[in-house]
Amino acid sequence: MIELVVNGQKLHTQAETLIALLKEQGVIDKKYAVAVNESFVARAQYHDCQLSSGDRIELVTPMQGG
Amino acid sequence: MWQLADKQIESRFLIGTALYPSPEIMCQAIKASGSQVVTVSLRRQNPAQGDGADFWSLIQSMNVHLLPNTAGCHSVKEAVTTAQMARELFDTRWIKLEVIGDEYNLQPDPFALLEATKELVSQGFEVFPYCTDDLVLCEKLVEAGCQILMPWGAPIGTGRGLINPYALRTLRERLKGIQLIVDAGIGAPSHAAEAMQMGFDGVLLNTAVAQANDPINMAKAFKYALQAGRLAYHAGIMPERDLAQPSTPTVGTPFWHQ
Repeated sequence: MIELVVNGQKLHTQAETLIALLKEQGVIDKKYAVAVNESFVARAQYHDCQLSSGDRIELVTPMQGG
Repeated sequence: MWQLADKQIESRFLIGTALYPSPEIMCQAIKASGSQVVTVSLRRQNPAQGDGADFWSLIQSMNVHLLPNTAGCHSVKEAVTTAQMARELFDTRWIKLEVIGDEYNLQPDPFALLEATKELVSQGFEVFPYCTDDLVLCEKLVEAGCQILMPWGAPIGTGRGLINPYALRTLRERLKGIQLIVDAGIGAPSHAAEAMQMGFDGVLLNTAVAQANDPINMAKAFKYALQAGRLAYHAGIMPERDLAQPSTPTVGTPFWHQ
């Protein structure tokens, strides 16, 4: 079990990779983009992205903007 | 037609998607504006709950070009990462690059903006930098590879119009081949017309339409103001004079005494 910070909230998870986390969170087929520790992670890299305790994950979706 | 980066479009009105009373009014206002480029953003939300999905469906249905922004970013790193996420999320290399330097008036940080621009241009982005009206900054942004600049008219959301017309005129004069779009601070259609009369290539605004009592008709008002300003710029505006000069012929004036 590791502790992550997802969108500013602490999350305890068994997921060891980003793809596992996204599956666990039920978002895999949704519209979003991801950054880990302030670095963008492209979709093609989700499988290879290993997660460690303390990692900060940003999960963003489309929003109105000016 | 207007060549904006790699797109040919007709409308010179770029419009935001935020702050409308409802999604339906947003759609109707954008349609009424005639705009073909709308700004969008990305935010922390939970996609598992469908956050962002309704908005995304609406925007897709509008058949417009998307200009994602990096609103709220305060550092080069945040802005670059946000731009990268936006490129994937919205499937566009266009980015309205905002790096805020001051919280009080949301003034862009010129130094971070330039650094982020260089990085993003090197990564293949078409950078639309939201910048101040400083000539030297704008020249440096052009040197960095920008073909489009978006100087502010006034701070975001103030509706104060073009608070430094001298600086904007100077930009137009010195950066003849660059697409100049006034972004932010526009409050009234007359402000948009003024920018277009100066020879600006376009106007980007959001609050003035979205927060109007009637956003749909205000969108139309801005559409016509931009068109009027552009026509006037091409038609040639008369120079100002200090002295009055009668427009009605003086020859043959009745009751005239020599």
